Amino acid sequence: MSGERDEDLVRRCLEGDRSAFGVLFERHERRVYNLSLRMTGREEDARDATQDAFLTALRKLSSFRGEAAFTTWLHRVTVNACYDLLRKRSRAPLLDRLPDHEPEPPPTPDHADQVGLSLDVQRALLQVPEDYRVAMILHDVQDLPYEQVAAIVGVPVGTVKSRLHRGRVALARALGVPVAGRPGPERRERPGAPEPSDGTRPT
Amino acid sequence: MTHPEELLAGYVDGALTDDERAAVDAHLATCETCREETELALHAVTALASLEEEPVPFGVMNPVTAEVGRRSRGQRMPRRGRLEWAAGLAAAAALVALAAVGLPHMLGGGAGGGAAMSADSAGTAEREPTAESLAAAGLEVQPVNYDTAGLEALASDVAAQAKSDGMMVGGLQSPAAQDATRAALECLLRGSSLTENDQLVRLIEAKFQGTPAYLGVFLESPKAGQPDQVVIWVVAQKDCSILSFSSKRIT
Repeated sequence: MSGERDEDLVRRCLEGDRSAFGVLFERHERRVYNLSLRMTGREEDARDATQDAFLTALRKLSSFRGEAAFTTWLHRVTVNACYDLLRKRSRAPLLDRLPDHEPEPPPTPDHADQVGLSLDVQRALLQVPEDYRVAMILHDVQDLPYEQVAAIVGVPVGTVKSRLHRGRVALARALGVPVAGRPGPERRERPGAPEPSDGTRPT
Repeated sequence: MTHPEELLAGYVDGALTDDERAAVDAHLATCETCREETELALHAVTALASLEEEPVPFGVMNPVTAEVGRRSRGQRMPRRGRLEWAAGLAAAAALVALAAVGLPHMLGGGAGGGAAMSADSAGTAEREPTAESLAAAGLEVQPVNYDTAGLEALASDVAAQAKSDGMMVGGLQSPAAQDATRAALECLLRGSSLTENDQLVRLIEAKFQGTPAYLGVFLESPKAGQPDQVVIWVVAQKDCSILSFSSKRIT
């Protein structure tokens, strides 16, 4: 894949270079699709939101002036596409539309459990208010820093942080996580848990 | 300190300065609510990490790629939107389910190798097409190699016909033709950019500039039942990629 900067590719697109679009799409389609998938919880909706996002981006590309990073702008367009789609689909409750006939994962460790866990997490995610959900998907799933999430969503960084916290609490409750009420947070022994940076682990 | 939600996010992320962390620790020692929430948040972060990145399904970007092509050719953009995937598959299923008279019967008359199937108001009573967003059409196999001019001629023909008789269609197939029809329809739905009001009137298997292709002829209706434009999508049989596109306003 080309190492060219997004912003240069955008300029080439605006000059009518079709191949530049291809490079931009290829570079970003996975993130856009996955953001849409986690926001909507359904493959069909994620397809639609992804197409909407890219078609909107295509239409508005000339209004992209490079003040923001292209990825920030594209994420913002995607989030808006997801909101629009969720609004349109709001007549059908999200949970009813999730496949509820998923076979239960067999009670064995390894990959099957992982898949089962992911489905549970996705379901729980849909029960979290959308503003909190966006913050968690961008920061906790897609690893974007607070500042970029704030730029994408268009709120102050502090708001992103409090939404993250509230969203996480809501998600854990939706997952039915029991609370032991121990003093202070303890790290769980859990494979795959993200490691906090050194020196900041709560004691 | 009131409940320091902003700091708690950073605390769970391990993103606080020493001073901030000490302040949060002091708060947690006295606030059961925040202790609980912090524990929950840690669980949530772990759970979210289990969500793996999914690959982008085949064909998702086709309408976008097609739009780039249209724009670079300076063509009028058809009304934006896509056929809902589920509706498309439902229509495909409905199409295959339809069975009455044979397809050749329906394709009997008319010019251009497989005329658009029309029925007057009396005729439609007996062979009502599906009430779905897409009417059903049978697959026409044409030994024709279309080019851009050919597509435009086809669009003009269909536009003229739509104007004169308010084209309606019925999908009527032998069982042997069903698989081919379903494949063609799914291929088109995958590649094209349609809305629920767009009505499929012709489904053609032919070549486009030498490449085996499916041609989907649609009536575009801003309002249901009032088509104002004929749109033809051409996709490759091999991979459903979009080969061409043509449109003709019904005047």
